[in-house]
Amino acid sequence: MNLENVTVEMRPRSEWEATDFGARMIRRDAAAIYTVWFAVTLPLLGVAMAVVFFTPYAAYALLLYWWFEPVADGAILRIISRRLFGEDANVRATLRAVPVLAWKNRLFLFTPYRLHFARSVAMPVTQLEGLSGAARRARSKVLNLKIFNYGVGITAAYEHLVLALYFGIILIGYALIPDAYVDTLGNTWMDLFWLDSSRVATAAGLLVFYAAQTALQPWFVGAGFGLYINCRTQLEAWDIEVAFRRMVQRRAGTVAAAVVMAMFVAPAVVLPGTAHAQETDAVEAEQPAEDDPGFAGFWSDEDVRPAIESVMASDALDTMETVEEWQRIRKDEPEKETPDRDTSVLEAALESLFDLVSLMVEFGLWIMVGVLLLIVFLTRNRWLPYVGFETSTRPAARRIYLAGGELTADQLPDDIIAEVLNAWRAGSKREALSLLYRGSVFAAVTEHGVRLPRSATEGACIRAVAAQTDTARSGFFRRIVHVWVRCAYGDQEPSDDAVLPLCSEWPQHFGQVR
Amino acid sequence: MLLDTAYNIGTPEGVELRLPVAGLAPRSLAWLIDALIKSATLTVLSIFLQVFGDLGGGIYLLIVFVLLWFYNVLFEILNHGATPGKRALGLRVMNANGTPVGWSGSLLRNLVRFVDVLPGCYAFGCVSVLLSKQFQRLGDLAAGTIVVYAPKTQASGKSDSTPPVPLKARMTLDEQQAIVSFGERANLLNEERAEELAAILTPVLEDADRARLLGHANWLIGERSAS
Repeated sequence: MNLENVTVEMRPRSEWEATDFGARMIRRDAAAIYTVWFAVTLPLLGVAMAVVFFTPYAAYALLLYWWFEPVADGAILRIISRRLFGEDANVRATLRAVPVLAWKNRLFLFTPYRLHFARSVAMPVTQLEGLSGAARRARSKVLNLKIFNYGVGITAAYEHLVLALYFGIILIGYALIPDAYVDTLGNTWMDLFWLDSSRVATAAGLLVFYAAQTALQPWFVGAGFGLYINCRTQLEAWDIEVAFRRMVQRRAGTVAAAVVMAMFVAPAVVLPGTAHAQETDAVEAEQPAEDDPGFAGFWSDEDVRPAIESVMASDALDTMETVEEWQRIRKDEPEKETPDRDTSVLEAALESLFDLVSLMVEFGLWIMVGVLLLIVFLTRNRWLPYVGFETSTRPAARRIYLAGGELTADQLPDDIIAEVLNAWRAGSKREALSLLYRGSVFAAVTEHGVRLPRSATEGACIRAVAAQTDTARSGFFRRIVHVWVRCAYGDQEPSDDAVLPLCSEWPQHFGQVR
Repeated sequence: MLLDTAYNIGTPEGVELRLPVAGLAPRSLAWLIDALIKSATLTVLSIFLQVFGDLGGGIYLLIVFVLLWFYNVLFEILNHGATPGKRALGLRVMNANGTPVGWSGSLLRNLVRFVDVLPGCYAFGCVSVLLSKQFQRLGDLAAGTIVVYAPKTQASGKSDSTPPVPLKARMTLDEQQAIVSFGERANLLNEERAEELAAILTPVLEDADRARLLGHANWLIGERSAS
């Protein structure tokens, strides 16, 4: 067992995910696995068939086949376990090993342990670890503690799925019988599986069962193996071992480069997430030199290349797609209509009636389209604002939506500055600044044609005013907003010196039109 | 690329999402649980509705219709993509691009269920799950949905009270994560195995042993000595 060569992503998985992981392994080597499966089970099926046709014990043929079928499971197990550690799935060698494997698994072939509820997770212990007797029991106990239930679960699932496929195949056969023969052939077909007890019927049932098992058994073995491997991965931290070995390997590969790199070597750098967490204990990690140019020389090619290669190898950058579509081939000549001589008067009348109806329906549809378009047009004032258009371009009628709500003229007094000064002197500073801000926004929009986005925040207002008015005005506006923001959100009340000049300068910038 | 169960998708923001798709066995068992719930409900209802004669029969048929066609859809939409059976197995339906499944997706995948069931006993669906790359049955393929394992909240973090030891070697993110997970799981391993694992790292970190690696792990997750 050489963990450096594992061909799968090692990581502790949940148990059900581990069964799927096994399915992935089966899928990857499906060709080899099914070759071995047929090579092992077809002779077994042959023996069972011989029992059906040449002995009086036809009824036991299915049991015989079912009982010794795990011989093939052992062969499948050998392939996927070897492939896991990077060896080839050698079909020939596997077939040669079948007798040995059968002997290793004798417990599950020749004793009542064949009925073990979690056989798929128990078999790797005997076959791959080569344990038997007390050692096997002790080992099984350790593994069973964690995965026995799941082993039973997949046995239950897959055995029932085999039955489901068994009935499914029979029903497909029935569905394929043409209607005309259902009464005769169909009944014979169904009787073959339900009522008949002839040799042919037994053989047919055996064949269908074999087909169903062929479809599912390798996946069952894979699921059990996945559970077993995942259990050992967790118990023995295989994933960590793999990661550690890779770490050592990477170092070994980059020693030569490291000498060259030494000139540039950036200081030890740890997880980006922890880098900022080291303020106080910064001495522990070497700090970047003063003249550190940044990231130059930080990543060597050797560091980055695996990442680049894995990115290049991933599906995202290397997708081939075959797109098939039907295209109409236009014939140069229109097809000559064959004159239908048999058309009776009645049919002709019906046809013209249908034409009329379809014409009416078509007209009706076009009228509906027209009505819909008309409705859309007539209600434009309702929905145009929602798709970003102003319904009117006259600045006076433009509506202002600030983040807090709509700003309208009747929220503001006629003489804004006087009101602001009143409020300021009365001590309600927040109200004063709010009024000043809203008044400025209102003035900017109504007098200077500034267009604001919907739900404009203070920052958005500053940007809009800066983009659409001259610098003096936008600078002044910015000062107002800053004072307001500081008071409203920062809770810092400005002094008289900051606010009174704003009030006195205000008429120079805003309020002329009004 | 290494074989893995998870199905990775990259978002435009450059975030890699790992979706662990679920295969045949857990999905079959989830289906079984749902089937039991449905049949138990119908049995109880049929006994109760018998009292009302023909009216009860009519109501019963309506309920059969709703349960048959909308049990999965409603649970998938209203219960974060999980019917009770799926919840019991820790599964969840979502769109193949990682977004939550919507009405159209759920309706489609559950309408096409009646193709998966063909020819009875779910033979088509079963074969489709085995053959498709992301364990999708025909309904999933039609609706562009997948069934994934719902993420579990992981207890992660400080392994034990080993004082943190600063790590000075240059390490990639994966390598640091390996050391952190060693810290998390060292207590579950037996002592010899933990020492054996630590010894692998000797070429990289001089005098690497279990205690020292635990210290590194604690340092990497942000622990700092009290002084």
